[in-house]
Amino acid sequence: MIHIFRFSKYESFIVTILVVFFIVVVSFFSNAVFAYPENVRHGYVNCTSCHVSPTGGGILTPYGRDLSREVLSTWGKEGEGEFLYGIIKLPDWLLMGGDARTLYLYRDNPSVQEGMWLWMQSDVEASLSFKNLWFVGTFGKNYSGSRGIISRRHYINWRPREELSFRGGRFYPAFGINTPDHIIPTKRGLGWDQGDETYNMEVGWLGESFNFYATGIFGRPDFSPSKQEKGISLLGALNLGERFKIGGSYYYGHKSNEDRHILGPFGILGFTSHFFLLSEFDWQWKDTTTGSQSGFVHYERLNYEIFQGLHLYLNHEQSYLNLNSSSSNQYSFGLGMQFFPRPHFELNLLWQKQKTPTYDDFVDFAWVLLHFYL
Amino acid sequence: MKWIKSHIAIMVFTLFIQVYATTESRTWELNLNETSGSVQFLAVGRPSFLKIRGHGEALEGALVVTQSGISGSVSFNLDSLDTGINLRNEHMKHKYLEIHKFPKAELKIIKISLPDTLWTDISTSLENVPYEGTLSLHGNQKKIDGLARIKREENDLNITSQFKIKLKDFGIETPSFKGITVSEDVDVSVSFKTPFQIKK
Repeated sequence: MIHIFRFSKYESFIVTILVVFFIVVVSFFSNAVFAYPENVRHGYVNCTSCHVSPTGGGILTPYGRDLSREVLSTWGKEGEGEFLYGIIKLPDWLLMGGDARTLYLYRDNPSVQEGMWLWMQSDVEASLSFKNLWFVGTFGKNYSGSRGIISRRHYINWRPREELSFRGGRFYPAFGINTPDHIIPTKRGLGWDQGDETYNMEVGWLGESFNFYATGIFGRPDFSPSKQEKGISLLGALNLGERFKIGGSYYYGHKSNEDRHILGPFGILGFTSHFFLLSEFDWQWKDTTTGSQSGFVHYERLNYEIFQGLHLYLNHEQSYLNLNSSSSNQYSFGLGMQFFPRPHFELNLLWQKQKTPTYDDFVDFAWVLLHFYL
Repeated sequence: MKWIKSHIAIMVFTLFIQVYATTESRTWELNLNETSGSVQFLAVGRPSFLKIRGHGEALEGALVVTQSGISGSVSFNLDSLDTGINLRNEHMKHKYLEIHKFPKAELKIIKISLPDTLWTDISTSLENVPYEGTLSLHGNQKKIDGLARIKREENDLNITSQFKIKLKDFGIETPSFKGITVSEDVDVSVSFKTPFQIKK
């Protein structure tokens, strides 16, 4: 369960306006951490330019912090992207970061019309480096499940040479596009929602034109045996030119009463430095004690950056994981806007029309994400 | 006998005219100041193999193309280079290329072998034509080897050329910023399309 504050429709509207206003005002007068795979379109073919993690996301490198001002944000001053705006100078061997995210969710369907604020994340993250070793860990409040304090990610990463990476610890296995949008069918639909990081051993090749990751997945000791999924994942991707990345992923997972295979291609296609497409399609075969089923999920985001920091995008996604049951089929399309006014701030809005088996007609679904990274 | 002498005289005259005409038409003047074109470079940042592509405006200068080669030189305004990131541009121009001291790069072709088809065929495309030149950059001069693609369309020449340079050959410090270091080798690509004037 996620921590929920409920408001009436009008209260929600007013709160949304106030929060958006606050973000915009603060960003004008003030002087991150997520994966943004679309930066491939700027020539960043590997995640490690900006992130410590070989698969992207999480704590930023010093270069990544500067890039958050130079490439990601509309406005900003030199040094503004630094940890805590550069107030605290950290030694070279220590990197710090953190994320606070809150989401306003709106649903309008024949059963309910409501808006609610969800507090999703408040984590700090640190990385200690020694020669070719990185020790990374997050620490924050758990807003789902057992509550309390959690560490979503903690791992040791060893890079004996620049292309080669070994990693062990808790993190998401490499599969498909590492987008921060964890509620899309290619993430949540396949069981990789927020908080679903597992304990893994990973070897990665981060070459100039080719990436490969093989991950052994050892599950989660804090889960009950019936929920413990163990297996492997493989991901290969080609960097074509300076703006295109295409690849494919395979996953095998085994639980006490279930086996599943997932296979699918993905692409990050930067047509220009302003116009790009993220696309992923995955097919899943699942064998359980009660039978077999197969189906697919896919996700597309067609994005245009109007000016630096302001994106408009079209979103399309579908989850149909059991082709023998039409009740498993749901799809949606929508229009979104993502705005990075200044380093440390992100605002993301998405309005979707959803078709679910529950209702005959399309229903409305929208969210506004506010994200602040230290 | 008289008609034979006349015939020989006409043949000699015709031959002279042909030789003169051929010689004249095989000297072309190219004025690059009024042409379209661009200069690009590709450098790789490491670790992570970051691809840095820079674009710049067209070349300036004049070239004379003859059967024995290409003479003259072309220059390039380094301040026009753009890598898509302002801070990177600033570092590139002021810290590494030092354009306040060395605002232009200059390329001079010293050896190129042009086949006859360039003159005899008004619509021809020559691939991978090797050449040698000297590049002046950052106050240093260095010999370079490159390959050119030369396309003639009647009285227009469309030339694209690639060559590699090493930054240290030109006394340029290896660019490095917050953990990302640019490789020594940089690929340069030059292209322009220009009408040529037949020198009389």
